[in-house]
Amino acid sequence: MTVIFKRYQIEFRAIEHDDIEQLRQWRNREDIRLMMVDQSEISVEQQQAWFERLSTQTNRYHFALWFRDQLIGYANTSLDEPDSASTGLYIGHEKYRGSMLAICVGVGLSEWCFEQLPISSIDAQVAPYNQAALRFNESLGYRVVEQNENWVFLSKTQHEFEQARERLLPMLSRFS
Amino acid sequence: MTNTDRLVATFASSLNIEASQVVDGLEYNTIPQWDSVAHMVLVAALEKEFDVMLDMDDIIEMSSVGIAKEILTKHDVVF
Repeated sequence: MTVIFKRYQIEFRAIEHDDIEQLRQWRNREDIRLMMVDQSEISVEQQQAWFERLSTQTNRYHFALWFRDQLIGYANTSLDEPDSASTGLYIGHEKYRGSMLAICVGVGLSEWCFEQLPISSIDAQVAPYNQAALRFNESLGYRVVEQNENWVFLSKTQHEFEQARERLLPMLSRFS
Repeated sequence: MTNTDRLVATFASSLNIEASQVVDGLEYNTIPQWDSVAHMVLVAALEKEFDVMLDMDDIIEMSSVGIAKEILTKHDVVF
C-alpha cells in the first residue's frame, strides 16, 4: 500500500491490482458512467489492460481514494496541456456517495496539483445537465470558460481555487 | 417557535425548498437541492441556529432530516 499523499482524512494511494475490480464496478454504474467523457462500459479485460498501462504513463496520475481504511473511489490528474492539468474523480462507496468527502477529495487534489505540478490552471469538463457537478465545481473555484450543447468547460487558477477554499475552510477543518 | 419549527425553517432556507418538504424521511441526495454543496450550507446554518459544533462523523452521517434531529439531540437540543 503506497500513500502518495493525504489531505482532509482522504488517502490518495497508488492503485493496486486488488482495487481494480471494485473500481471497475463503480465506474460502470450508470450514475457514475453517464457523467464521464467516455461513457462506455469497461470490461474486465479493458480494466486489466488499463491497470497494466498505469506504470508507463508519465503525464497522468491515478489515485485510489481511501477513507478509514476503506476504498471509497478514484481520482486522476492529466497533464495534456503545457500549462494546465485536468482532474476527475468519483466516490463509489455507497455510504459516501455525494457526501462532503467528495469536496475533501476535490480540494485535496487541487492543492496537490498546484503544489506539485508545473501548472497555472486546472480544467474540468462537465455535462450541461449535470447541475450537481457544476455546483460542486463552482464551489471549488472553477468558472465556466466555454460551453456547447454537449459540454461545459471550466477552469480555475490557483488564486481562484484558494479564494474558494477559504470559504470551505470552516467545514474542511472538521476533516483535518 | 419550537425547536422543530427552527429545524424545519433552517432546512427550508438552506436547501431552498418548501417547509412542507422538510419531513423526517427526507434524505440527502434524493432531491437536487440537497447535494454536497448545499449540505455544507445546511450544516453551517444548523450550527448557527442551535449553537452547536458538529464533528466529521456528524456531518457525514447527517443523511436525513430524522437523523439530523438525532444528531442535534445528542448535542442537547430537545425535540
